[in-house]
Amino acid sequence: MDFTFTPDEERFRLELRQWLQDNLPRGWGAPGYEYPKTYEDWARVRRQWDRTLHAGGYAGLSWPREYGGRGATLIEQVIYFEEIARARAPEELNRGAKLLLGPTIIRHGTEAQKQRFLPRILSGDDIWCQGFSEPNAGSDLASISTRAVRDGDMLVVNGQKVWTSYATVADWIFMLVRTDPEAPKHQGITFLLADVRTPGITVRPIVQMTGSREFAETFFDNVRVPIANVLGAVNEGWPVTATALSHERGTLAFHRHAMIRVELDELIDVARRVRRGGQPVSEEPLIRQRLAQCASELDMLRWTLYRNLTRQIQGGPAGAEGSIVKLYWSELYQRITELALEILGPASQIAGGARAEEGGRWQFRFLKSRGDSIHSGTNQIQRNIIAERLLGLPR
Amino acid sequence: MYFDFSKEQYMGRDSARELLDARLPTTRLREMLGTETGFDRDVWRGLAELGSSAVLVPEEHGGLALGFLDLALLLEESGRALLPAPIVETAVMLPLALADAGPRLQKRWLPGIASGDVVATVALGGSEGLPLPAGLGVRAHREGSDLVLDGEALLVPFGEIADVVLLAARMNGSGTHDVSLILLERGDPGISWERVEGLDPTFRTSALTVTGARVGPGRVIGEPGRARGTFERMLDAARAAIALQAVGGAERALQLAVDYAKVRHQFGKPIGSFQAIKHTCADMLVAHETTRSGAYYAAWAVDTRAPDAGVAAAMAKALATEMFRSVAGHAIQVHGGIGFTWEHDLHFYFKRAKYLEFALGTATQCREVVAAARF
Repeated sequence: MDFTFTPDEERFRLELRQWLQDNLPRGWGAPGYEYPKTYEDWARVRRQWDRTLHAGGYAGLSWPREYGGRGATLIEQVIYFEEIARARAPEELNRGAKLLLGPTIIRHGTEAQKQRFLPRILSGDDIWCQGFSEPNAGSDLASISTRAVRDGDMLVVNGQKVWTSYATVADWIFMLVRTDPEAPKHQGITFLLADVRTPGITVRPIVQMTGSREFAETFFDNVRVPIANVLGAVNEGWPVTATALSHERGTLAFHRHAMIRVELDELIDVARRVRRGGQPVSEEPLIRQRLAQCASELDMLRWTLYRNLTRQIQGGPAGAEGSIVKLYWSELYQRITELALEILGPASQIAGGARAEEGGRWQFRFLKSRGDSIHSGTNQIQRNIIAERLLGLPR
Repeated sequence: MYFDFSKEQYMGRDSARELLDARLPTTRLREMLGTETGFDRDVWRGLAELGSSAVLVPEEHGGLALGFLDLALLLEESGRALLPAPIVETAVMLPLALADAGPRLQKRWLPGIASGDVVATVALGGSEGLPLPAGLGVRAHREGSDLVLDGEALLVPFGEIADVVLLAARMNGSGTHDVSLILLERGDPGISWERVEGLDPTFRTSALTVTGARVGPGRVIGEPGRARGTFERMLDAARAAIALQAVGGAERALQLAVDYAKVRHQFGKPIGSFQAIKHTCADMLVAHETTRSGAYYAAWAVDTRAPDAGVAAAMAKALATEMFRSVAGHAIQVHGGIGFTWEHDLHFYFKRAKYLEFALGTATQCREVVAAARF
């Protein structure tokens, strides 16, 4: 057992830390920094951040060098997530494409697809959104009903996707369509790449419970997409989807862990600063217990991530262990944001303006955290995966 | 960065598991409920032959001079088997305390500990219990070069069979942080034992009463009133050890629940196919796996004397023992009526969990250790 990093890994960390300091907007992350107010402004900042990362050589960290990536080790990827969280760097707008789609194209794509799509994913020239969920296909993803019918060398798509985050600002969508309605439901699915500006695609924003317009519903009305944009083969999209989803639950959890750690440290500072009944809230015994419990659970998460990392480095599968981590951090984060509002007191109810505590950001996090136990597989689905795949309970 | 045990460490675990599976099945635990001491010297010697109590003892005293990590998985196995013996006290606490003792005390006790001939225990909390060290139940005052001891310590593991008792005492009239560590021997005048009927019938405890017991400087580790550092190091390691035992015990309870859920049929199906049961078991595994990670990290932190060893051990102890109790409780629930019977083994796990939760600082007190360090 060894918790030290090699000199090369330490160097990678320090170089990245310095690079972040040099390349983030001046004052970013410091108290009082004026962050963008609207989702659209945020999207602009984030798109620019994709370009900055690319220029600095930090885009596609995990990708092989031959595809323009950095060929970073798993540990370097972990260090990257820890450092960008520490610097409170903006989230990449194209994260989904870099984490899920890119590795999937590398595995299943044709040479032409690799040439065409991979460089523009890394550079941020093409922003991608994910068209998986439908109004009647959420947890039961394989029951999608958006149809695609062959017409010469084109597929003609009709149907609807929902919860397509960033569709309003994206250039491309990677999506699942049903190409054989007669086949068993996992066998008639095709993984398709479509230009969002293709005639027949309509994107309507959906306002989330936080007030943000990050979501959208996306309609397809006789949309013609070249067969050349099928990833894998027609009717063989499910294994391609499995590749994509396996990346969704990979090292990303390290980023969530590191971000939650930054926020918990902020919360501890808040608890020491806010006074009630003549003493800092951090001195109230019940608050101390809950805060210490959250801090302890966050450490359990950290060490579990590191144990999984070692298992992966030794060649073990990422697999269902990712479900343990997803379940744990999403519910822990909800408890932390709930505790934060209690620590802040009545002013936590105020969303903005001079009377709001901490600019209302804890309120925003409190609301946003409710989505964490839903996206990327609801926690009920994660529990099924854990029970069936790790414990071997019957389906 | 490598967060796993070594091949040799896993081999040690396998040997311990094999021994305990063969010699200490729960049927044997049940037989021992009726014995005078509740202790099985053959099992104890078997573990000693695997090096259990020699791991932390220096070579010159017949030990293996290894680290806490080399003991960690054996401790986990001892929890899995609900070992009825003061292994944390003998194999972890005494060697760590004696590391700071003079050569004569070391020579008197360490070889016997390493060989398994000596059974040792530790006496700490009084009826107020905690927090440590303020809650130590025995007080010491000086008379010449001797110390005179008065007070009581509750819940001393296997006190009546122990050859040596490491007693932690507070100095009379001084600050709550001044600790003396004293070695008492069986038959010393002024000490008496009373067996306590414990919640956990497979783990015997006694109350120690000390009335004017007089010990010379040769029985004291370090200087009277100045053993705080030794005490803390010993406490940190012992908390990590208990966290590991809780992880081991919970693994067994979870396994019993999952096995039962696969074979018990209701409504024409295995109950494990119902999501109410499935999700309960999933939650048990999540709690178990995550606290196991924390217990392993604490073991590493103790082994390497990392600066955060005390906090890591306190949080692991708090979360792992609460997890064990919760997992054992859910395992009873998954079993339904049979789980609530004396005949089924699960109640032994539930009861051991509760014992471990109280030992060396409750979860609440351990969380306060975390709080005090972090904010």
